[in-house]
Amino acid sequence: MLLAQEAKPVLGVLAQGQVADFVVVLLLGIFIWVLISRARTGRKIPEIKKIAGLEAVDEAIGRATEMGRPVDFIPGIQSIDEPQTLAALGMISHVAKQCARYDTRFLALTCDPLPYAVIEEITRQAYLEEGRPDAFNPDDVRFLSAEQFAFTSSVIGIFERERPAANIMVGSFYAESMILAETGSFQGMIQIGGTANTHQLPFFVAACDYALIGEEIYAASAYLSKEPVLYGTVVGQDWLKMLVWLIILVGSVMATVAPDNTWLKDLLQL
Amino acid sequence: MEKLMKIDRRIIYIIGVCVVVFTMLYPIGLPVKISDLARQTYAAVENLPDGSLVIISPMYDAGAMGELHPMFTVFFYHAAKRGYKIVVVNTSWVQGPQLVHPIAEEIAKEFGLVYGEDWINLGSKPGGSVFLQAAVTDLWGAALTDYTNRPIASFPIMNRVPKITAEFVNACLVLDCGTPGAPTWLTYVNEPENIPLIVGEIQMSVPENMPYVASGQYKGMIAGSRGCAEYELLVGRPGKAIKAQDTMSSIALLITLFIVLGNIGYLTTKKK
Amino acid sequence: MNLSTNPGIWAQAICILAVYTYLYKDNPIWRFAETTYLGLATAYWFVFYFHNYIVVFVKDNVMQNGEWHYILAIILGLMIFFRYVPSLAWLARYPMSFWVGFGTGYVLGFAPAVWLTQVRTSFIALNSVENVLIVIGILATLTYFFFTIAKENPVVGGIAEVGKWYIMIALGSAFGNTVLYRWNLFLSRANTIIVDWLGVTP
Repeated sequence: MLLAQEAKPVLGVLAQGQVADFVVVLLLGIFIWVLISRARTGRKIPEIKKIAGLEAVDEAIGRATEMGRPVDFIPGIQSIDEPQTLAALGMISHVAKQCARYDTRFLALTCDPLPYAVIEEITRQAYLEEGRPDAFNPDDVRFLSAEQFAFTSSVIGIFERERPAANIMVGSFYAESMILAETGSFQGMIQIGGTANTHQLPFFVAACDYALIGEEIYAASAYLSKEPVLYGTVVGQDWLKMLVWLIILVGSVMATVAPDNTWLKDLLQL
Repeated sequence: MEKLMKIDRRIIYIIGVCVVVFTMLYPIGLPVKISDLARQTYAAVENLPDGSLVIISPMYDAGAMGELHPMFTVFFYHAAKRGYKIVVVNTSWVQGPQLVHPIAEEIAKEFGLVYGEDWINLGSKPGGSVFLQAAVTDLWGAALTDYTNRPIASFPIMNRVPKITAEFVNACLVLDCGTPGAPTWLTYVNEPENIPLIVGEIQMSVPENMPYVASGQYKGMIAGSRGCAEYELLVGRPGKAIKAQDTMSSIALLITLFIVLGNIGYLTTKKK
Repeated sequence: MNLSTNPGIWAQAICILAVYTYLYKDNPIWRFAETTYLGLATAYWFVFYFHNYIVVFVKDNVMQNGEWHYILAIILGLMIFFRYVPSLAWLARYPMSFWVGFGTGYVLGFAPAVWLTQVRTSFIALNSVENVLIVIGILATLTYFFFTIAKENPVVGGIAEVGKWYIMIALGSAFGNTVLYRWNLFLSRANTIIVDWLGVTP
């Protein structure tokens, strides 16, 4: 992608029209690399502030424990190369550990074989870290179907038959979000929903007890896991967002006071 | 007032079903005003150069065909009417090309288009964004066969399009209901290759995709069933979307009523 | 009324009605539909993957065209099955790592061009109420998603609060659109039952 084939390359290697893209990726990479290195060596990096509703995860597990019913986790319906699925994996580890600690049954329901394999590993590891490897049941991490609505109908079936008390849905959701959230709501589950797919968010906001909006799922994952790589990544992205904020402000002011001066626009188009 | 917040959902369903069935069987024929967005979208297809080649990509399956079938119909009809060459292909959504094939055949017959010369259905190709990126450099190598598994080398239309670049393709018309979808085409094909992208979006995805229209990255967008009804009027082929508008307007009114009632109940209970 | 004689339409209609019985409550008819659909989907995907991946890559690419490098990818993919052999389960992590790394790199190679265009087109002159509202909306919403700045700070908190309102309005709009979309789906199913199956003409 970065190697020019026909257009005259910039600096010998970068294709025209992709210099700004490359600089942005490089900048983000540097931010993240610096922050991860600092976090790993225990040096100070900006702290991720508490996200409203995140305590609800522990509250939901607590309630399921009291009721003696399972907690289920659905990491969206997309594969392992989807960033939202990766964010869900960070949370699953925390939820599985809490469930192992309180001896609460943990169900993970997946729609793609790759996250299924990874989640089984993560859950096994979580039970091991809590000193309860014997309590881990591989049959509770399930791959149901790669077909969206076949997956959805089997999740509804599991909701009906196994009656989880808490339903945590974090990841990339589509049309199934409303069906799942509505079913959970009618069964009186405590529900936490989070996705960056804006068209599905309203249903999580309406039908779940707590909703993580858009990018909050990435921050939540880092906040809960305290994992330096995730933590550094979220802070690095925050810095880039602040830079973009500033660029948009300057760009708009320039478009107002000096509409003919387009150097900033041209710079981003390099 | 508390009762307003606790209406049994089954009552809501029954009222909704009655409204749908009644308006379907006894249409009122409410007027449909054509929006600027529909005109922009129509113009984007209409004003392509004569003899253009367009790709129509039905990136959907049976779940979304209620809204997207009428959009495929108007796009295909419009392209056929203008005499463009048409390549139907998608990736990942396996059912899409199978579902649209009878519609394409019917319209092709209407305009006397010959399969393999004027239009072709390459079917669904696995790979998502990887397929799209491969098709940019070598569509023949990435697609290999058409919908019926015949080698694409045997179809004259394919001589016009060895790869999906601006040199060979004048526009991509993508019908989108999820991922991969129109933004995937934009990222891997249309933005890097500078090919106009015109999309058909299910109603649900309209707000999310509006920024792409505002930024000019989508040259046009059929916005849900309503947008499709407007396009049907513009292209002069009233179809399923226009028929659905009475029902959709009535349902919109009904849902608004339920939301107002629910909120009255909520606010009154909150005051207590 | 002119009842359809097409078995395909009958199958469609029966399945639609069986699924809709769930709207009343969980029942055996719905469970039958659920399990049938799950089984059908599993079989469908198995056949699809077999013909579109295994046959194409092994028969066409490798055996017919002699593109032997595909074998490396096939071996890498098959390594995922090592997870069923406890002592060698660690080998299953390699294809996974490769896939995550490839996916991330691939996205990073293409995505910035799309959103940098969005950033560029956000440079709009603040010369109308509409434009001012758009720029305020973009900046306030971005502020809402700053995770390292405390929202207790009155300036940041105030801007983030405005952002929250913008988000809620956007979600309201999305909600309305999605509800209408769902009803439109129902309309097309109702059309299958009433027009295609029962043969009632509007």
